[in-house]
Amino acid sequence: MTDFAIHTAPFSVLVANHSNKLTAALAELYPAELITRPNPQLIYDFCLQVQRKWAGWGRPFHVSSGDQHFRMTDSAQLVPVFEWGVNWCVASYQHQFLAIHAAVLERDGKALIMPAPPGSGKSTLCAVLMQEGWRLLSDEMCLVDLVSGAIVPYVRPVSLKNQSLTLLQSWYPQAQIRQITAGTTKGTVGYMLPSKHSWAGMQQTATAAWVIFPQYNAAQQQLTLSKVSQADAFMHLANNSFNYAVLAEQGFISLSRLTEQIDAYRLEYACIEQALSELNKLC
Amino acid sequence: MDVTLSYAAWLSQQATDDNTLTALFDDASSVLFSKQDHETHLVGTATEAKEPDVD
Repeated sequence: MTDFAIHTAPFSVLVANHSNKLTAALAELYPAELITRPNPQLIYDFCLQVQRKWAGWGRPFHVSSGDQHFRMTDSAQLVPVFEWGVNWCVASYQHQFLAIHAAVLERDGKALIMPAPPGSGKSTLCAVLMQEGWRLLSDEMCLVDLVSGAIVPYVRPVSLKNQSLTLLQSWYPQAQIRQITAGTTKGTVGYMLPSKHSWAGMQQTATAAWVIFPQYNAAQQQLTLSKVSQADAFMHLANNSFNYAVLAEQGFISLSRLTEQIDAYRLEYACIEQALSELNKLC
Repeated sequence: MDVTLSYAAWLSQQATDDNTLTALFDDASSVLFSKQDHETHLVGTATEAKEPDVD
């Protein structure tokens, strides 16, 4: 057993772990001070178990939380399955926040929120903006404080997939992309380390200012940026929220308040430089 | 006027008012939330909010 705790604000996670490989891999992705030995005096936000159920070739590791099964996996895919497992726990249990499936970045205290389904280019755009100096709050999870309405950072490595890995490595050779794993259910997955600036601001909230719904489209002749009504933006944000329905009235009030603060746009692009330029003009 | 029916209508109207939250935004668009069935609608359409797949 190599149990550990990982403290990526706002959550502290206890990991009951049977894999030395996972421990070593996470040490490449997270700052050393965020991974500690478990402290029996602490109450953790949730616990993730990574347990070896049997010896053999076929997916011997069981990833679960409490008695809730998440995935079986082999040793080679432990890192992505662990990262997805953490996302799953946050989406399933952490209802002190309104959680929206979106990348979030910050500049001058203002948050840019990019909700989008897989394949829209959200993480690629997020990684590019971070490399260009924006502070990363999250590439996956926009957490809205239900009391203050602030956007709460949840800084973790940026998950990149397939072609986006190659593109980002060529655009930013200095970027640190680690733990590249082929053959997952999402194809090849790798993790770009957050900038020092992003890790340093991991407890610094931001105010929602813009919502961009990005859509990468290789056939797009010219970039289009179109205004979205606030009510439409509300509905899209609700549709991209993991727990809007769970929070019910509280979710509606929280999302209404957020929507009142933002300007919303739909961005369709083929060229990342054009998208970046347009966002820099807008934000 | 049937006083009992009138009261029933008033009560029904109150229940409707109390069971609906409205958010009216600066651009004059708005959304409604029904506290009774927990559904959210754009005003004037039948679009309903659904949660995304969790992964």
